[in-house]
Amino acid sequence: MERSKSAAGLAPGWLYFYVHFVTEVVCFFALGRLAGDSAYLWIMPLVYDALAFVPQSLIGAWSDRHPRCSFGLIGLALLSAASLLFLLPGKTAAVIALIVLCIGNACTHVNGAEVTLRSAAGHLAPSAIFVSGGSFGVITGRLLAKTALPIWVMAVFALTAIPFVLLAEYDRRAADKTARPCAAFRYASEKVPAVAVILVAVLIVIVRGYMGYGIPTAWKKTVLQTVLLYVAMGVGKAAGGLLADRFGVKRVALFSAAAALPFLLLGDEHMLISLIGVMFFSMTMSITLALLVSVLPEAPGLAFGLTTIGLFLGTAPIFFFKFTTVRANGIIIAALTLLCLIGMAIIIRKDEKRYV
Amino acid sequence: MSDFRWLFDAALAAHVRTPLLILTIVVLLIIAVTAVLVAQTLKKQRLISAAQAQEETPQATEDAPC
Repeated sequence: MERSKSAAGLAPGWLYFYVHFVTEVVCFFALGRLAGDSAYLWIMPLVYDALAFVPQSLIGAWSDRHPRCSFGLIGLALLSAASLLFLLPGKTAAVIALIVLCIGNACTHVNGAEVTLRSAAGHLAPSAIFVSGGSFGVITGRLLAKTALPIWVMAVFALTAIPFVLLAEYDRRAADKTARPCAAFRYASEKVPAVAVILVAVLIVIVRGYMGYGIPTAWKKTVLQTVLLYVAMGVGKAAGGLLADRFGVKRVALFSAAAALPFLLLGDEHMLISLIGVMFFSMTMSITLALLVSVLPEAPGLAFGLTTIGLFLGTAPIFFFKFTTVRANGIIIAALTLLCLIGMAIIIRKDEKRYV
Repeated sequence: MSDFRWLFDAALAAHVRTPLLILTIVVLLIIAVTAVLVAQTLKKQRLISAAQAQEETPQATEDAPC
C-alpha cells in the first residue's frame, strides 16, 4: 500500500523534472550566447545567479500566501518573452531580457518546489526528482548555445512545459485541501531550535555551492566527459531523495557526505572515481530542503528560497577568486565536508520510519 | 595559492563597478526581507502550535479516567 502511494506521489516530481529541464535549457542557452560578448563575459553569469536565485525567497513567500497564483505559468511566459527580447539589438535590451529571464527562472523553480513539497506527504523523492532535472537542462542549454539554433526556438520550447505545469497543478490543489500539507516533513531534530536548524542548513547549502565549483576535475576534457559530469550530478540529486525515503534521511545524508570525500579527492585524474564522488556529493541537496521545510512547514516556498540564497552565497565567491592548486583545493574540500557532516549530525533527527 | 585576478579586474573595471554595487544592495535588501519573513513565519507557527496544544488539553482532561 505504501509503495503504490509513494509511486503515485512521484508524478509531480517527474512533471516538474521536465519543467525544470526546459527552464535551464532556455536560461543556459541565452547565457551561452551572452558569454560570447566580451563586455558581458563574467558579469552576466553573476547577475544571472543573483537575480535568479536570491528573489526566490520573496516569490516563495508570496506563493505560500497566494496558492491560487500559478507561478509556473508566469515563469514560462517570462522565459518565452525573455527569449524574444534577446532578439532586440543593444545592451539595454539584453539587460532587460536577462532580468526577465531571471525572474521567469525563479518563478518556475518556486512553483516546482511548492508542488513537489506540498503533494509529497513528507517524502523527499518528488522534490529530488524535480531538482535533478536542472542538471540535465544546464548541460543541454550550454551545448545548444554552441550550435546555430536561433534563440526564438527557445521561446517556443519554453511553452512546451505548459501542459506539465497544468497537470502538476492538480496535485497541488488536491494536497492543499488538507490542513497542513507539509506537516509530514519532520526530519529536523526537535532538540535544536528552529533558527539554528535554518542557519546550519543554509550554511551546508553555501558550503555545497562553493564546493560544487571547486571539485577537482582535471579529467574533464571532452564534451562527452562534461555531459557525464552533469548526468552524475542529476542522478545523484534524484537518488538522494529516493534513498532517503527508503533508508532514512540521517543515514543517507551522513553516508553520502562522508563517502563523497575520498572519491572527490582521488578522482582528479580518474573520471569514474570522480563521477561516483559527484553522485554522492549531490545527494544531500533534497535533504537540506526537507530540513528547512521541517522547521517551516507553513512556508515551503520560503524554505526553498532559503536554499537558493545559500546556493548564491556559495557560488558568488567563485566569480572573484579560486584556489588554483589541487592540494589547497583538497584541504578546503575536506574541511568543508567535515563541517557539513558535523552540522547534519546535529540538526537531523534520528531515523525512525521507512517506506519500504 | 589563490587566484584573485578576477577580483582586481572587477575592482579596476569602471563599467562593472556601478552594476556590481546596485546588485550587492539588491541582494542584501532581499536577504534582509527574507530574514524578517522567516522570523514572522516562525512566530506564526509557534502561535498555531500553542493554539493546537490549548485545544487538545481540555479534550485530554475529559478523556482521562476520574
